[in-house]
Amino acid sequence: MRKRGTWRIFAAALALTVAALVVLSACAPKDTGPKKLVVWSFSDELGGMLDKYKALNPDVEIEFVMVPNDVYQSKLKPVLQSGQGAPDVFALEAAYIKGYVDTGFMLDLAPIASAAKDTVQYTKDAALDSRGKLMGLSWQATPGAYFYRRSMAKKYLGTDDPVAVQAMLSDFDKFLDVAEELKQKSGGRAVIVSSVGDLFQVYKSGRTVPWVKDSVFGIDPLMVKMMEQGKLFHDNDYEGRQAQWGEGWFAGMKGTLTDESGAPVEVFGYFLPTWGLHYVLKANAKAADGSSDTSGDWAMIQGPMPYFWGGTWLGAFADTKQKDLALDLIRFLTTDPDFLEPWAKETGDLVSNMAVVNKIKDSYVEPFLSGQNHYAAFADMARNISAKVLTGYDQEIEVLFQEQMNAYVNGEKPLDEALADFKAAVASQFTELSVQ
Amino acid sequence: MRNALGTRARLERQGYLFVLPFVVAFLALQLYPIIYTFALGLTDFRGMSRNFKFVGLENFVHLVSDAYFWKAFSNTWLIWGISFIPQLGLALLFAVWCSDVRLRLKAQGLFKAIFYLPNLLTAASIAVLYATLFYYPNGPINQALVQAGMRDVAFNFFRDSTFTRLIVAFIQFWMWYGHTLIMISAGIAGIPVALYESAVIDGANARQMFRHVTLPMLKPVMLYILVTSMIGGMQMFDIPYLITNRRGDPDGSILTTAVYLYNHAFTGSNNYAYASAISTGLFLLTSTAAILMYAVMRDRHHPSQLRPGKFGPSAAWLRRNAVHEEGRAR
Repeated sequence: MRKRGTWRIFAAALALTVAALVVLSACAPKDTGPKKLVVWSFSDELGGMLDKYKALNPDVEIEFVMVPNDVYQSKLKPVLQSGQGAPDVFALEAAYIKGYVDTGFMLDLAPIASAAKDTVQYTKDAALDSRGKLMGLSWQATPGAYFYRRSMAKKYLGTDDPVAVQAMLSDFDKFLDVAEELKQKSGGRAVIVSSVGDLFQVYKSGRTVPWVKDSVFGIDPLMVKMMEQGKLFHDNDYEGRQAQWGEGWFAGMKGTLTDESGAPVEVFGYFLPTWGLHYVLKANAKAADGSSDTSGDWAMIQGPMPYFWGGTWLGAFADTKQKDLALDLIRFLTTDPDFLEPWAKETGDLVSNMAVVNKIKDSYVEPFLSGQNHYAAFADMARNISAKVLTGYDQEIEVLFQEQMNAYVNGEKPLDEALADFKAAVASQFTELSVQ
Repeated sequence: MRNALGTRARLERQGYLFVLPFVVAFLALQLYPIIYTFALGLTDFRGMSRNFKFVGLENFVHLVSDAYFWKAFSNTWLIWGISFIPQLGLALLFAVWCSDVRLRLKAQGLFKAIFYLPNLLTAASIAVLYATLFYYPNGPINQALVQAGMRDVAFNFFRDSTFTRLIVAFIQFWMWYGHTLIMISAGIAGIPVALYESAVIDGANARQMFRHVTLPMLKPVMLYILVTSMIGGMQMFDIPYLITNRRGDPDGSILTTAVYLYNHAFTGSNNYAYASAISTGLFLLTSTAAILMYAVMRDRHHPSQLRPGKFGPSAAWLRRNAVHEEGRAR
């Protein structure tokens, strides 16, 4: 009896251990029963949009999973690869969407492509696979602008009128001239941008040579020009020596930036896109202690070049068991005027459906920009954007590029050496590419 | 007799029962991944594809000639070395002070707790803390340097290879100093008091006792600390990864082997196969280094082999303790 008892405990322990291991090692595939969708994103923005869909389709159950941005891809890739626990619909960012469209894990959106006839072209180009098939759609367009401080423009440039200031800053050579003027007239206290990194998104959008084409790595001459210009900004103190997203970068928006000796530094402007106006600039215009508030002192212009920055696309998993439902959700969120019009009015986000945009664009007045109509201005900028140079390699290659640009701008190495080191780093990270 | 045998058999069976969870967890969660990693290194598994094929030793051939790998490997040794040598030295000094009966240091426990504290913080918080302290141009350290007149303009610490390495090495030192201290204190506590007594009788001063009694007797503990710290140091990842741009920059100065491995596996083209080869290479190199350390530092000065000398134990002491020490060492 005793013997049998021992073996029973043994068997139970074995069963428990194995059960625990199974739970630990592999999440069982989720049961996508009738009318249930699993949606993944890296920001909670999508959560509010899904609520609108649920309100109209009470029979559909939607499980929204938000994965923090910095681990989003390392969570998403394995589940798409294994098919286990994969979401039916998932969000992708401009920086890496091209890395997914040709993997075969994304559903062809051909059945809903006709609904996207009014969608601004660049957002569709960004989600085309190598055979030209549409793999993703975005509800928004994210053109970028240059935002400047009206009070500083009046003081140093003599006018704060957006048309006049745009004329002064319409290309990067003029931009440098104005930077010098600001420096002279402010006694070195005013800088035209707070960091050299601010130039990056603008130049990047102007490229015509993609980083990678047919597995061959290439550098657009504009990128080399940006390195040279960045060095001019740095060497002539036209920039505030901050880092994008750093504490000092935000302090410049509040008007509270100081240098290391405690003297104030005035930042004239920022390159930011649609979302940057609402979630970055507006959110940081006011100092926490209330000592400074720059709201209402800003104006927006196109600046030296049209560009776009970021944006979120929606795609569906190729092997989803809910193909029609997934397609319907994407169609609704990214193209349906009945959703996008109230959404645009509610959030002020520039939607990708140009029919909706044209209908509502004249009704906006933005007190933060001292009454400028940001919506109409962004709508015009959206038309000039090209996304044809995007590749799936961009995000990683740009990190490697920025390191070499920083090294060159800081005077650590000459341009030739920085470019050679950049190529060597790319060749090391992407052994499959041919790098000359 | 029969009964005793039955009890013994049952106890043995229960023994297996108790080790079962560990054995199963070890086989499934450690041994299998290790073997799988080595096997993956022989394939071309990469990116978002479900298929891969065996390519033999291709990845390993590439690894041997990969300048970035060797740079990362030497960076790792350099940063570990800079952090380990002062760590061991200062821990030794403080442990000796703590154990010195003549000094009678007060609040030892408090000091040990304070030194150990950084080890309890998460690496991510520490990376943010130091990145903020050394922030350019207007972080606290730069403000202090400029406003005290020691520099005219701010210094960009994280654009300077030497300073970035020193900062990372200092963090490793700061985090692991308390741990090493406790290990050495335990080692000192294990040295028989009789050795010190006879040293005193022989007329040795504090320095001579340290040099000829404490140090030789601590050798096994120090070898253990050296090897475990080296194995940990070779896997150094979180601080160098987080403190700058997650690529080990500026100029690859804090690119450690583990950061290089991570970037191949989990960014870019997700080259799992090559990352596995790096991982296997790191394993082989670390094992070799550990074996070498044991071979070089192995305890040759066993008390039974000690020669009587000016400051060493007396011949009489050695005779008296030979049997006893022999037993202890086993």
